[in-house]
Order: sequence, then C-alpha cells, then structure tokens
Amino acid sequence: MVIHHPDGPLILRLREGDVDALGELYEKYKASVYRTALAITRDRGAAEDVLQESFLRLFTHAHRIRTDVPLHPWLYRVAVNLSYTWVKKQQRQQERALDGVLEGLVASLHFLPEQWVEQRETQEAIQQAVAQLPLGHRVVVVLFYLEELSLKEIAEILGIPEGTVKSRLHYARRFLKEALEGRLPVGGVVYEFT
Amino acid sequence: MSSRDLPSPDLLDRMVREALQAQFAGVKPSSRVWRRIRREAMRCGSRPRPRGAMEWASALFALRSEGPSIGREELLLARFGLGLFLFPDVVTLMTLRFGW
Repeated sequence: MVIHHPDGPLILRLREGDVDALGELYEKYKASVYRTALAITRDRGAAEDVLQESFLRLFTHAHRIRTDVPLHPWLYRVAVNLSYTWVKKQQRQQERALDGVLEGLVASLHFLPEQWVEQRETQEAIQQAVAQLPLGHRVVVVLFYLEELSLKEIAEILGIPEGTVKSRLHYARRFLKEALEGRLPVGGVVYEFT
Repeated sequence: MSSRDLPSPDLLDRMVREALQAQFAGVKPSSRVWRRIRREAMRCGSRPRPRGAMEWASALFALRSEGPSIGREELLLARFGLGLFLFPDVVTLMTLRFGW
C-alpha cells in the first residue's frame, strides 16, 4: 500500500494533465522557489524564468515524481540546478564584459526593503559578502539561512554528502566572519564572533 | 578544521539569517509568471498522458479524429493504424505468411 504525502494526490492529478492541480502546487511553493532562485541568481527576470521552468518541469515530469515523499526537495533541486546554470552562463558573459562586481552591488542594494534601512550598512556588508561567496557555497548558505533547511535536506537536494555541506557552511561562515570583521564596527558596535 | 574554528553560531548566524531574510523574504514573483506557466502547460499537454498501449492507441485515435473535416477514408486509415498499433503480432504473422 502506497502512503501518499499530502502533495501526492495533487501529483496524481498532474499526471492526468490537471492544470488546476499545478496551480495549487504553484500557490504552495512559488514563494520558496522564487526566493531561492532570486537569492542565487540575484536577478528578478532570471528568478521568474527559473520559477516558470521549475513548475513546467513539474507538470511534464509528474509521472516520474514520487507521491509518498515531500515535493519541495524535488522543486528545490530543479530550481537550484536551473539557477546554477544561469549563474554560470552569466559568469562566462561577465568575465568577458568585466562588469560582474558592479552589477552584484547594484542588485544587493535594489532588494533592500525600506523597513531595514537602519541596519543597512551591516546587512549590506553581509549581503555583499554572501554574493562574493563561490557559487556552491552561496547555494548552501541560501538553503541553510534563507530557507532554513537542515544539512541533511540540503545534501539530498544538491546530491552531495552531508559532510560536504558542513564544510561549505564552515567555509562560508569563516568567509563571512572575516568579511564582517574587516568592515565592522558599524554604528559604534564591535562584533566579535569568537 | 574543527568545531573550535567555527565562529559563535548565535551572533553570526542570526546576522546572516536576518540579512538574507531582509533581502529576500518578502519578494514575490509577478502574476504574469503563473499566466505564462498556465498557458505553456495548457499548450504542452493538458490532456491526460497515456500510460498503457490501449491508452496510447486511443490517444492516437483521438488525435486523428480531431481534424476539422475528417472523412470516411481518413477514419478507415486511422482505424487501420490503430489495428497495426494494437495487434502488431497478428500483422507481423500475416505479413510473414503472405510474404512467404
């Protein structure tokens, strides 16, 4: 007897070509998929394209998706892979144009909500430091801090050992710590992370 | 690399989490994304996906009979095609027997 995950019946409906079922899953997962894609690509248009392609793949590959496990790891995996591909392509183009750093800085300022203006300097420093992480490390940071997934879940989504996730997170923390200590104190407060 | 090298998780982790959530937590895709997805999904197959041979055959027949002006000859051809699809062994046997 197959025990369906709560998303299971919707996936079964997808297999029958039910677009309304796709709509229900889209409403449930669009925010997390879009947020993850945006945090990795740092480009709204690219993130929307990733979101669209992820859900179209969900629709066309529904017959291959298990109904007895949560759907979100599958969606994260597709979105991360698509974002990864987009970033790599952009990096190749930016290497030729030599304007990647400036675009990253502009993008990081663009997404700051107004209510966080008071902490802008510190948060900008963190956001810029995260943006400067190597892509593989940035993805782990996004999934861990933004999506609040466990190391095990991240390992499954990225298809890498849990130890690799841990070491990437360790490297990222050390990088962020050094980046922040180089910039701080901000607003008269000295941060020590020891 | 040991756990002693790690910064205190409390402050750094909290700051990173807050910074990322401040940057991305409230973001939403535009409504046109769903419209595009829906349109593409409808285009690429809102009809049920056939699973078995019978369902594939009926799907093929359904496709054939959806033409705007299907005639008797086309219908016969479609049914013959369906027969070939459903009973390939019989057709193979007949072909071999008569051909031999």
